[in-house]
Amino acid sequence: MVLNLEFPHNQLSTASTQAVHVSPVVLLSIIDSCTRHPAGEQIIGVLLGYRHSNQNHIRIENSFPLKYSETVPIDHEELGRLYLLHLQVNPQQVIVGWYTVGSGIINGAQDIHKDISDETGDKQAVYLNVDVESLANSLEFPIKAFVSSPIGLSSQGTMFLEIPCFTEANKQEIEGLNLVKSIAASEATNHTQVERLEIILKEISATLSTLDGYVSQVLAGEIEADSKVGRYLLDTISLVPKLDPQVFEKVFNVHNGDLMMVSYLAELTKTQLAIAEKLNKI
Amino acid sequence: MAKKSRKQERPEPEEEEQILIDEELLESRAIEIVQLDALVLMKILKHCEQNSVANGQLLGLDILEKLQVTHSIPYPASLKSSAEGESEEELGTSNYPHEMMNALNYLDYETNIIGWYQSTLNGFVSLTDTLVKTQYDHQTQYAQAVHLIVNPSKTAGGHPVVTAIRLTDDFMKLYESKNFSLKNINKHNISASTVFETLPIQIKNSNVLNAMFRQLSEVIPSTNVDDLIVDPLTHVVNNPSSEFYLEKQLEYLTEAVEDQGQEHWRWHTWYRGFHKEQQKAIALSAKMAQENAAAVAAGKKPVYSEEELVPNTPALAKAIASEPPRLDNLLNHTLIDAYCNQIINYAGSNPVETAAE
Repeated sequence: MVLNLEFPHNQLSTASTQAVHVSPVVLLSIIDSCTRHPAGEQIIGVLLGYRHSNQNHIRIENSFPLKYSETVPIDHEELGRLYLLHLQVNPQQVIVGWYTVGSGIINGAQDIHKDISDETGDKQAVYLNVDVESLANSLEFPIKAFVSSPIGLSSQGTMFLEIPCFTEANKQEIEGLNLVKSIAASEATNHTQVERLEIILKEISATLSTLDGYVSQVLAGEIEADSKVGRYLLDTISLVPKLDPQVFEKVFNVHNGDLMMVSYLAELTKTQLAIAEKLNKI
Repeated sequence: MAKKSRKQERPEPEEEEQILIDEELLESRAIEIVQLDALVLMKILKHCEQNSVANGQLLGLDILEKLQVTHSIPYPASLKSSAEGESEEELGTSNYPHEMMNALNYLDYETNIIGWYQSTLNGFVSLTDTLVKTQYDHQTQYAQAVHLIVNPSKTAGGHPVVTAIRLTDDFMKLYESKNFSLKNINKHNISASTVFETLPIQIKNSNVLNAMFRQLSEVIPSTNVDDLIVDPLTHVVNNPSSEFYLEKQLEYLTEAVEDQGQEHWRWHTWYRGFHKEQQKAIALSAKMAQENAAAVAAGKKPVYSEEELVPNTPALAKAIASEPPRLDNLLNHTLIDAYCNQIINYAGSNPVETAAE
């Protein structure tokens, strides 16, 4: 006896997407696109990014807005044109989903989602909803991610399932964000090398004390020891060269002397050039 | 925004009826500050991170003395900045900027090009004549255009991530004349420090953005412990020591100084030739003057006219015309200055202070 199970096609072909990781740049551009429109207008756009090899996670790297009209929610020609332009810059980033701004899932979301799913091929598309208006009221950033899932086994209808959504920034982006934020808070922007060194040293000192706290908690048995972290710490510590203070002081001073020499030479070069310039004018 | 742009070239009367614009805001003035939108900065940084050499256009508008950069278009890696592009047509991406503009226009974005950006190679500025030419083209098209130098490399810490520069008005005039003789450079009162002017940069966040930053105060750096743990050894290898930066910087500086020396030597050789010709011409005209005097003394008419007496021989004219252009020299000088400043900045602007800390 053979049991014939007819699952909907897209359910079988891919494992379902489990989580979405959003780059801050995407959030910035979504917010940018909504500051460009008068309040109340529907904002819609396409998300670009890549899937992790196991396909359960999606990393959203980029986005572009689309024009929205009630009658034709997605203009495929326009979408294709914009997508091609983006492919030229970032050939690895493919369409992974779409976004809207506003509270709740918009009307006709099912149809739009189907349209976008056509673009993503046999991979599941995600739908991101950013509720900018409730920014002021909520403590967390109001962003939600959905995937579409069929209702029942042989169903015609689909429903949106919420999946976890993380904001994830790489090193470069964190630096950029820090820069943007610090200037927003109107802090000093142009640090000289020495000032930066000071900031970094303070950071290191803070990190070390966090680590110290963690290690002593583990030693006291308050936190369960993680062997991975332990091995990592061991590797790191074994890399720190063993120097006695006198040698270190000597090395440091020699290095500092070098730096002074170099900056002296640089000043000298500048002076020479300035003199040459003055001579040229005579 | 798009409608308000281009205002100084083409006032559009039919639109002025609809949009109430403060006349004062329309006045074009020399810009004093560059205002970057947070998004633009982030987008540029991301683009630079993904490509070793990245460049693109800046879009926006100037209002009074503030240049507002509100959007940017990254260029594909295959498309170099417009000035370098003889080979552009072959690549099939040549119409990319144009199409991108169309697309943005369709989406109601501003399409006013107000400059361009380029990433530095490993954090080292390169002020080439290509850069000058591209910037010149931009500034002739749009007087307020700026060039953003983006420095994404972290080893280059100590100087700002982005710098906005533009060519000074004096230099624009000089470049327009296409005559880079020493005399002409001096006439335009150009020195190495006045080729480019650096503009302060301001970052603007919208209120919504500020609200977002408050909530996103803890952006998760990466997913899990496994990702965070990198082999410490590879980490060390991938992050060359600070000496690497200094060494490279000095290497570039030495190269630039050598170029400067060669350039100087070439100019000097020319000058010697020129001087010789000049002496010859003066000697000749002195001889002619003597003959004239002798003729006058003998009661005859002067042999040579006044015009012929001016020391000017074909050889001298040739020598003047063949003066090597001083543009390279000038740019090189600017470059050396920039390197020196970077080194001084890197090595600590005040050694005593460094030592004290």
